[in-house]
Amino acid sequence: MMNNNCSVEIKSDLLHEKYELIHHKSGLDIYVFPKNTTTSYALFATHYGSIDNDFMLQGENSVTSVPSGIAHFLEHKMFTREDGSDAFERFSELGADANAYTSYDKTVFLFSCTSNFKECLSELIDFVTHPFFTDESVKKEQGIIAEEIGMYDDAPPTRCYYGMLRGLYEKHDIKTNICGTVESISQITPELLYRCHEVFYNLSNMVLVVCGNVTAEDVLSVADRPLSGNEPLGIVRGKVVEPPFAVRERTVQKMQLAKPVFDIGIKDTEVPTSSHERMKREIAMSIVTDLLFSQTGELYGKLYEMGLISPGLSCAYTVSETFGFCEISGESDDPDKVYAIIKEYFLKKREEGFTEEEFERCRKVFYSSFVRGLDSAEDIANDLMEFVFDGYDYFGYADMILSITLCEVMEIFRSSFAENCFTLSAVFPLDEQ
Amino acid sequence: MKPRKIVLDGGSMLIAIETDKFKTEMLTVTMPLPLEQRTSRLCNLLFSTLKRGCRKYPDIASLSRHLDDLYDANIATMVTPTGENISAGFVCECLDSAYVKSGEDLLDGTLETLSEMLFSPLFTAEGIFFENTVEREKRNLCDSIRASDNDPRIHSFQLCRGMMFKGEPYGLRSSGTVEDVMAVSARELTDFHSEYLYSSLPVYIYVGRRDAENVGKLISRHFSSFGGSLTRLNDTIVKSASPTMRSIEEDMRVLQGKLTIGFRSDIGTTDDDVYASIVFNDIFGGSPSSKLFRNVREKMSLCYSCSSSLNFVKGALFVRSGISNENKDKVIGEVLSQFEEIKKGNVSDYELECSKKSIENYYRQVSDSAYGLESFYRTRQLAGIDVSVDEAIEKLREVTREDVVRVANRFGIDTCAFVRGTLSGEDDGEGADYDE
Repeated sequence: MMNNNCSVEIKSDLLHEKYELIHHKSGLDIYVFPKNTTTSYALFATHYGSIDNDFMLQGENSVTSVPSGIAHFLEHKMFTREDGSDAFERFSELGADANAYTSYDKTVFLFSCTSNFKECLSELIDFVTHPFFTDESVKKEQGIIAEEIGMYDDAPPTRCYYGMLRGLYEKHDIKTNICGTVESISQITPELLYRCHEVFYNLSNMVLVVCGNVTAEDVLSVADRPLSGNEPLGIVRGKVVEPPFAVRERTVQKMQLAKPVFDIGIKDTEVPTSSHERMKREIAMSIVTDLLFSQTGELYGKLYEMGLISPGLSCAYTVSETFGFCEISGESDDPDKVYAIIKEYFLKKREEGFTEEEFERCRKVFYSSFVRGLDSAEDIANDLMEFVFDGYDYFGYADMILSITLCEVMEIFRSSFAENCFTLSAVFPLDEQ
Repeated sequence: MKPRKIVLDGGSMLIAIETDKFKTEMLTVTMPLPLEQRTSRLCNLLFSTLKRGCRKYPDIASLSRHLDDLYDANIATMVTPTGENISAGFVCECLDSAYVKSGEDLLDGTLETLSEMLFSPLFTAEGIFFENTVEREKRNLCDSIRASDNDPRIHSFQLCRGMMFKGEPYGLRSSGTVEDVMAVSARELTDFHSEYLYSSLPVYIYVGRRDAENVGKLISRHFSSFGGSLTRLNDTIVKSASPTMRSIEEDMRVLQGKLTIGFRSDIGTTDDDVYASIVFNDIFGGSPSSKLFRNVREKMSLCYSCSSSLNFVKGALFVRSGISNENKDKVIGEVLSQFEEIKKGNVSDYELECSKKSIENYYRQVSDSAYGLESFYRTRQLAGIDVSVDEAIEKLREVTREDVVRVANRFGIDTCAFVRGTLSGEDDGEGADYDE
């Protein structure tokens, strides 16, 4: 823990933007991104999500295992205050919108407001740092989240997506729904919630990001007092060793829907440990998936003309410290045929590569999408938080988009994604054979 | 940030919001149509066919490549029912030239592309759309209609809407039915193209750094072919709820039931109570501090989502919730009981102030997004309301508790639609996972 705050300004001449990073004396890193918007947006996030179900602290000699879905459950329960009130109500009084979400590796609490910024920020810091759970309130939440799980279970794209992840991963918790299951959340107790809060909501594992018409002084005038330092905890997260291939090639489910949906996954078996290399890999493989599967590429037009896909084929590359995969999803009357064509094309282009002209066009698209994100205080705050937790440099990302070469992209493309890393998940209509 | 309205040569209206706040520029070209079964299905089909290519960029790949070269410029379509009419048109959005090293005018390039798509489509030697292109788009549109029919949430809403607005254009499905769509021929679509485009007088909305005169010149350069007259639009039908609540229920093979309860009022867009109805909706179910969220979800633990939304053009309000079948009557009972509470005047100062602040916050946030600004002014323009964001906030601030209670009493329960889930947790298909 430091005695004083220490701040650094980070600038981009290319993007005409800058932000300030304050290493707060409490151990928390605070980012303030000034923006001439009417809306101010703030988020308080912890590097903790649905995959962190096995962990221990340095110095401990046994692993704590918690039920799936507990990070998301904790996110819901944080809004309940000790005096029986609800944090949402306080934000409403202040005329602000508050919300929260949980991903695989992050839990985020946020608000946006057009007035009363300081009061809102004070409330945000206060409720996220003051957990309060009782048996009764946990029980009540189990009913609400069971309905949330029911909602996702009725959504074919969600079910198809998790089918794809089960096809790729053997043990990794990424294959389990972020909400958990009705069975797993029934095991959650106040004691487990307190334990997870104590470990993962330690300020050294968190970040505060503010974007809008505010200054670092505004933020510190609120944050200095309530943020008392807590000693950083050494969190040791459970690690699983995954096989370097997809665990099965085809996963099929049946649901109420009109046209089959599919989700094709391609496992990345060479996720780098260095965050700089991961950032490069993310850029490279995002460009590759776009080159292969966007409407501009030859494949989309071919599948469309053959009547094999509906408009809206989407593709993405996702990477984190412990997993990485490409994903192509859409609707088709014949998912198996689409899978065969996509797999063949992917492996062919992995050998053949792309032209400089195709690559440059795609670079423009990718760069443009990054610049567009800078128009929204919400996008900036969320992207910046993601980048910080992933160890990426925010403005460096734009520089890397502009400097990465086709040769580097192809080297990354060829380093993984072999034939045995593919999986197809499909959901067919109930009556279809 | 008050928009400037100018009438262009030929009579079109341009609403320009001049701001240097964004790194993008946006221009929408709206050509409203009366909502009829024929126009809605043809409009959907026409737009998707035009997006397939034009003479200069004859297929999806060449058109997309061209837009990618313009730093991923977007040309999107919109076909949205607004009361008894359709808000139909194109949204062009691109990076502001200041943020690209070449400094090329990307908006000019994007509008040129839209003009090519609209006025130089791909036709056969006989001057009609290619049959196979139209067939493909018909199949896609039918797929999306079937997808809606199989989505319990959308289906529940459609059941409610269909019954509530039976006999009114708004009660029609905006894409038509599968049978209607399949009956369209390439000739009919071609006729609609010329009848629609060459007789339309679009409304343009611009958000970006240029001044209105400059935008006007760009529009004249690219869209002089429109040159039509103002389309005769339908008057919006606004009326009170049916005297007794109507119910409709259907089974679907899903786990969770989906409930939609529709309320109607005689409050139209020009009614003095329109702002009070927006506040009423927020207090009832529009936010996490609303009566529905606090009671049905937080207190009774009956659902994950239970919220209300207002269609202020039709004076209608919908409560929607995903629930277990066995809780249906309990949830309906609680929703109606909360509605009665407001009608009786049980609205605290706290609830009123929270709601007004929350809506004011929402209005203020509109100015932080080009899409937000465009949508605010387009919706109001079509509804015949001439009000800026700041003026809307002023009117909202004047709303009192008496106004909210009076408005609640002008609403009545009209229709309750429930899609009953017939699957249980054991047969949800999870077990059907298998390897090959």
